[in-house]
Amino acid sequence: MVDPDARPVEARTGFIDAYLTELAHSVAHIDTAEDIVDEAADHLLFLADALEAAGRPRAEAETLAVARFGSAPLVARAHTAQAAMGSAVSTRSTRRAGLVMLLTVPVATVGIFSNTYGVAHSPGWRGTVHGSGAAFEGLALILLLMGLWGLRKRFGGLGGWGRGALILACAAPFIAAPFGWGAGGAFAVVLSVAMVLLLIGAWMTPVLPRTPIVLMSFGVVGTAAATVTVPWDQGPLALYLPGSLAFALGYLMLGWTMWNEPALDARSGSVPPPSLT
Amino acid sequence: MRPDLVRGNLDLLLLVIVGDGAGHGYAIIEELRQRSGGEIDLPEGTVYPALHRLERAGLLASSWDTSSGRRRRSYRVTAQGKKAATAKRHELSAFMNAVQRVIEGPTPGTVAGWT
Repeated sequence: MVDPDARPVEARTGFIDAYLTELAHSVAHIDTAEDIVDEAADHLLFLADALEAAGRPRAEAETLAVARFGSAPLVARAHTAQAAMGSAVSTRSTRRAGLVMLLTVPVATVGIFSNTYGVAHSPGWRGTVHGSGAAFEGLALILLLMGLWGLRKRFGGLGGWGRGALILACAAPFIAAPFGWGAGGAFAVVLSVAMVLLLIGAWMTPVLPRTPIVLMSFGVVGTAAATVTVPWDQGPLALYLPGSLAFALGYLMLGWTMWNEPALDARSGSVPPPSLT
Repeated sequence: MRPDLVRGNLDLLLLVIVGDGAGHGYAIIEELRQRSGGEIDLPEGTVYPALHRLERAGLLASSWDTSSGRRRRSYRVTAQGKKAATAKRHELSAFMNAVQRVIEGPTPGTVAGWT
């Protein structure tokens, strides 16, 4: 077939443009309508150009391209039906995980703020502030693990790296327990290693956005470097801020991405598949 | 070919074709038609929704670029998609073997009461 990209684009007859307008109306209820129309436009113009280059009159080339593509209502029904068929996982549940990810950061912030600033500035309420801060930090840890579980579930387990991260995260309490008073630090170290494994798995999954992964990786490495450089109870809090903020920002971005997906059940099939004839 | 037969196996066909290198939607559909000797000839616009669903499932990934002044989307198979294709291929192969055995009929002496 002649490569239509190698020759100048001929004047259009308007037939494809009219079809695309009708398609845009037909798929307007779908979130990705703009992408659907752009993809259809590229397909139709590519085919029409190729047919024209092969010797067909332009009007006939455009008509034939549209005829092969299928009517706008048929294509719109196919998109609606395929969306209703859902994906390999229920995004209805992973959307909730996205929401949990969005909640993690404010909960963790309250916990950390109470345990650092609050304890130092509220001597009369030291026990209460410390206790509530610790409770918020514990809750944030649970939310973090739930969010990461959802992230892993949404993207097919993230391969062997994701599986390794899950095993290590589950084993973290048992690995840390023998360290006595240092168990908290040991737990954090093991969890950080698990996080690194998870991020490697996420990086190797092409469907995930790169920016949040880079931010989270910087956050884990930056916080670990700060911890190694200065003991956690001797360094200023600001030392941990760049890493923590980068991690939190990347984590929020991933949570926002998952929360904004359309809610689909894996086995939902309420809309019958369209006839392909 | 009956549309329901194609629809039941379209995921596997698309994963294999994209995995073999066809990345642009038109190229994928054309490859599907040519490899099947023209037997699988779906309305081209109905293949894109299946590609989008496979992408949502994490089995395909896509990226946009600009060609001839138009936005163009290209697909590629993810690691998870390759695994899924292998599993679906084995599943289909086992099913076809089973159908073949049923069609060929029972071997004498293997069915109770057969004389």
